[in-house]
Parts: sequence; structure tokens; C-alpha cells
Amino acid sequence: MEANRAQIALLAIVGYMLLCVGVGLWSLGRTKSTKDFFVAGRRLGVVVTAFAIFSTTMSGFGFVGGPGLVYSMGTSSIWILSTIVSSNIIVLALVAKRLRMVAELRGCVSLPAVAAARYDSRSVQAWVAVVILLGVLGYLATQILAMSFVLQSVLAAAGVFQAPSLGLCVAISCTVLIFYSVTGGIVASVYTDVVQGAIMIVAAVLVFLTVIGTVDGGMAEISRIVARDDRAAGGPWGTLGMIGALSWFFVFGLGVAGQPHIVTKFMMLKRLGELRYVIPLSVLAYTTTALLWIGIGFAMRALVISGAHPPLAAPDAASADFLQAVAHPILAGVVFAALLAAIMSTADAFLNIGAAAVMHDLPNAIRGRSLRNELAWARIVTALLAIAAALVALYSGDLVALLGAFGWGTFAAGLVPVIGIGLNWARANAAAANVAIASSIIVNFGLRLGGVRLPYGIDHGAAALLVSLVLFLSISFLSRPAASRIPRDIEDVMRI
Amino acid sequence: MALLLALGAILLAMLVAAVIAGAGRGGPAPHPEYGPMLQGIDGGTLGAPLWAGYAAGIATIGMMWLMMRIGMRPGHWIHRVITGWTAAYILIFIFLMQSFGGYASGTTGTFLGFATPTAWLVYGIGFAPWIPLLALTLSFENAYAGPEAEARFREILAESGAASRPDA
Repeated sequence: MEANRAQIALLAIVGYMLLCVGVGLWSLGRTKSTKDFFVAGRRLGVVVTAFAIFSTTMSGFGFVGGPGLVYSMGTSSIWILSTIVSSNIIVLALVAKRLRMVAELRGCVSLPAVAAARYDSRSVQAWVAVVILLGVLGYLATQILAMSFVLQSVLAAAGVFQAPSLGLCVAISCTVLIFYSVTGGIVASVYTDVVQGAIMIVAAVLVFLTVIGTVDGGMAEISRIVARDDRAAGGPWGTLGMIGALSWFFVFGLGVAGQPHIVTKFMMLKRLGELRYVIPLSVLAYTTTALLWIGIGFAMRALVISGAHPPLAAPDAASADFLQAVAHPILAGVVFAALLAAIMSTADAFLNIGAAAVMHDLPNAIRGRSLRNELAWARIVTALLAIAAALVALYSGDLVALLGAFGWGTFAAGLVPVIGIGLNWARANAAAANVAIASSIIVNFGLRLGGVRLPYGIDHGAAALLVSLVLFLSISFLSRPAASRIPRDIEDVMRI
Repeated sequence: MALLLALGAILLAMLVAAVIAGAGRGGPAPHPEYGPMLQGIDGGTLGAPLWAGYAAGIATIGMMWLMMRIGMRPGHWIHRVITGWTAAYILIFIFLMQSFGGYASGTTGTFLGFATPTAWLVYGIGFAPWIPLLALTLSFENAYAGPEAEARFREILAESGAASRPDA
């Protein structure tokens, strides 16, 4: 079996891709309107919603980028994982209930449409659509890059190609992704999330058990090896440093309420009362799969330091190399399929919300009405967005996780004040919302494109969130209360 | 919201002050032997003063506390649970910082697989929020959204004629 390790992994991946094509075709018959395409007809139950949220959150960022971050920086990214529970309480408190209610009340199929309803403003709808589009490109690029890294590793090991280029792997990944997303919309994504989520949980536990058995003395010895080589990497801040790590704690802890791929899932829920179990179930699943993030990253760092494994060519190769070199061949095959599963469902969710922003919200904001034949346009725009993100993935030159953190920061800074606070605070007004989003884009993109390094490695998204939050609250406080025009029905919902 | 603004303004002022002072220019360096792997500075502070870590961490937890309470029914005991938990959470963060002080000066100990201050992070900062989450799950109908909320929402739907509107 050991001799066929690469072939088993390839078989699992090909099998999974065929499953995606099949699910896409199955979902095609169940997607008859934009409401089906974007919010799954608003008829999801507890388990499907919980798994959809956790699978979408975990994604290539968690399965490929996470171990890469631990390999590269030591413990720094545990600050991201440490917010899993607290951030989900915040998302429940701030947005879940009100978003679900406003979506049903106004028949909203997207987050910008909810913002338009809340602020009674088409300009806010346009700004929210723009920030979603920008964040989607960064985050989608993360997913495509992660998928391509996995595919490249498996194809090379199986000897299918001599040295498959990243470009070829991006092309293959993108083709399957486009077919899956264009045919099935969000329906394909959420229903496969249940199976994918279950695979991810089992795989994460088995991988962590493998990690513990990799070094005599288990996790404690792995920690000692890492800390002996570099005390910072084994300490609580990792190599990113105290303030940088705390900036991740800030932006990931408070920023989840602005993540459209997560919060739009609440718009798909059948009944409000089901929220009670959605968050705990989702958090439990996410916490379990985080074992893979921590386990593989630390194990690979320790194995390389102790000379048991050659240094990695890139941090993002940590997962693929661990599976190819250390894990049992069948487990490796299952995890490779789980990796693709996580990536595919997240990419589909991003394509979905990005397509909604482009073909539903921007036309509505600019022209005051939707496009004709929205469903067909949704499919066309989905394909175009995937291609654009593939180009970003190929030419941005960033690590998977850093692109993911950039996307997260963009959404957090742009949308936490406007959606999270705005749905709960009657005094918030459209002018404050527009300024908050514009400032978040200027700060986040300005710092990044200008190559600015903030003191102590502070995350750009954290700085952008601080600026947008302070501006949003200040402008709303300084405006006359009458400046906040809230439609009567929305105000009633905000009082519940 | 005023308190949220105050805490956000404090963090923003700290960031602006650090930028103006030109502080924190040092960063992790590539590992001398293992390529893209990085090595830290000063056990992980990158030269930042410890008080800045205390201030940033406690302000962030304070903002979490404020955001968790929004959306809960006013006057319900869940607010007291969240407040009590926040106080305990700040203590856990302080224990982590204290433990890091020892770690940075060379003390080495492990707890359940991690260096002691890292264990505070993994098992304390990471798992302690399960307490308010479980409390919220148990009190969901009274504290957040029960049959009364659902009924009121159905009334609003009926009054607005939402069923007859096209999707937005």
C-alpha cells in the first residue's frame, strides 16, 4: 500500500472532483430562481446550516494556510483559532437574528440588499457590494491557490506529470470549480458541506493522532523541539510578536460579524429558533478540525528542525508534505479529498456572494432595478469571477493564509460596523456607513498596495477595522438622530 | 456604543502613536537554516513594551464583551453571565501575560503539550468562551429569540405585506 500512496491520493481527489460534478448536475434541477441560487430557497435546517458555516469558515485558509502559518511563524496563528467560540457568540448576538428577519421581511437574497433595506439607501448597497467584491477576489484567490498547491503536490507525487506547473493546476482546479458553482449555485455548496464537514472532522482527529505519534513524547516533545530552536516560535505570540498576534485576536474576534460567506448562511435558515443549535454545532466542528491546523504545522516545524524531514519549499506545502510523507496512505487520500472539499465549498460560497454583488446589487444600486434573466447572468458572472480570482492567485505572489487574512480583514473592516452594529443601533446612518466602508477600503488597500509595514507587525485589516469602526460610531453620534432614516418595518424588527 | 467608541479610540490612538514614534520596526527574520521558516525576536515581543500588550488585549476583550451583550434581551441574567465571564477572561489573559514574563526570561515548563503561557492561550483564551456559549444555548428562548419574538416577527411580516413583495 505504501508503494501506491500517491496513486491512492490521486484516486481520492479524482473521485471527489467527479462527486462535485455529480452534485452540480443534481443541484441544477433544484435551482430555479435567484432565491434558490443565492440563499438556497431559505429552507435550510440546523445541521446543514451549521456544517455550511463551519466548512465555509475552515476552507483552504484553515487546511492549507493554517498549517503553513504554524510552520512559518510558530504559535502566532493560534490567536486566530482562539477566537472561534467568542467570535461566533458575537455573530449570533450582532447579526444572526436580525439578518434572518430582515432578509425574510424584504425578500433579500444578498447582504448588500439587507444593508439597502436597513439604511434605506442605494449608495450603501453599492458600497457594500464593492467591498464584498474586493474581499471576494482576495479570499477566492486563497481558495484557488490552496486547491492548486494540493493538486500540484499529488500530481507530482503520482508521476502523472513530470513537474506540473502551478498555472496548469490552477486551470484544472478552476474548471471543476466553475462547473460545480455555475450549475449548482449555493444549493450544491450547502448540501455537500454536510458530507464534507463529516469527512473533515474525522480526518482532523485521525491526523492529530498521527501527529502525536510522529515524535516520541508527543505534542509536548514537539513543542519543546520548536521552543529549543526558537523561544518565540514556541511561546504564546509566535514569531509575529505580541502586538501582531493581538491584532489577529482583534480582527478575527470582532470581524466575523462582517464575513459575508458566514453571515449570509443565516439568511438561508428555515426557522429562527434553529439558531439555538446552529452556532454550538458549528463551533464544535470547527474546534475539532482546528486540530489539523495546529497539529500538522507544529509537527512539520519540529520534523524539519530535528532533521527528520527536509525543509519545505514553501510554508503552504506543510499539509501536502505531511500527508505525503507521514500519514497512512488511506488517511492521506481521505484528507486530500477533505482538503479539496473544504476549499471547494468555500470557493463556491465566495463565488456566490461575489456574483450576487456584481449582477444583483450593483445594478439595483445604480439603476434601481434588477437585470433581466438574473439567473443566467448569475451563472455567467460566477464563471468570470472565478477566472479573475485565478489570475489574482497566480500573480499576487502571496501565501495562501496571508491572502485569506487580507480577505478577512477587508470584510471585517468594511462590514462589521455597517452590518453588525447598524442592524442593532438605530442611530447609525447611511452617511456613517458610506464613510466607514470607504475608509476601510482606503486603509486596507492603501497599506497593502503601498507595501506599508505597520509597527510590531499589526495586521492591516485590524488597522482598517479600527479606523472604520471609530469613524462609523463618531459620525453617527455627531449626526442628528433624524439623520438615521429607518423604514418602519425594519425599525420594528430591530426592536425585537 | 459610547464605550465601544472609547475602547476603539484608545486602540487607534496607540496605533497612531506607534506609527508617529517610528516604533516596532523590527520583524521576524528568516530562519538561518530552514528557508521560509521564520525566527522571532525577544521571545516574541518584537520589542513591544508589555504594558502595550496588556492594554491591547484587555481593550479587545472589552469590545468583545460589549458586542456579545448587544442583541440579548435587556435585563436578562445572560448579561450578568457575560459580564462575569469577561472578568474571568481578563484574568486568564493576565495570567498568560504573567506566565509569558517568566517564559521570556528563560523559565521553561509545559502543560498538556504546550509551553505554559501557550497553554494559557490554547486552553484558557481558546476554550473559556464555551461558558457563555453554553449559557446562551440553555437560555436561548428567554435571552435571545423565543416564541414571543417569532410571533412578533410574524405580526410585522403580516403588517408589511412581505409575502406579496418580489425579492430584493
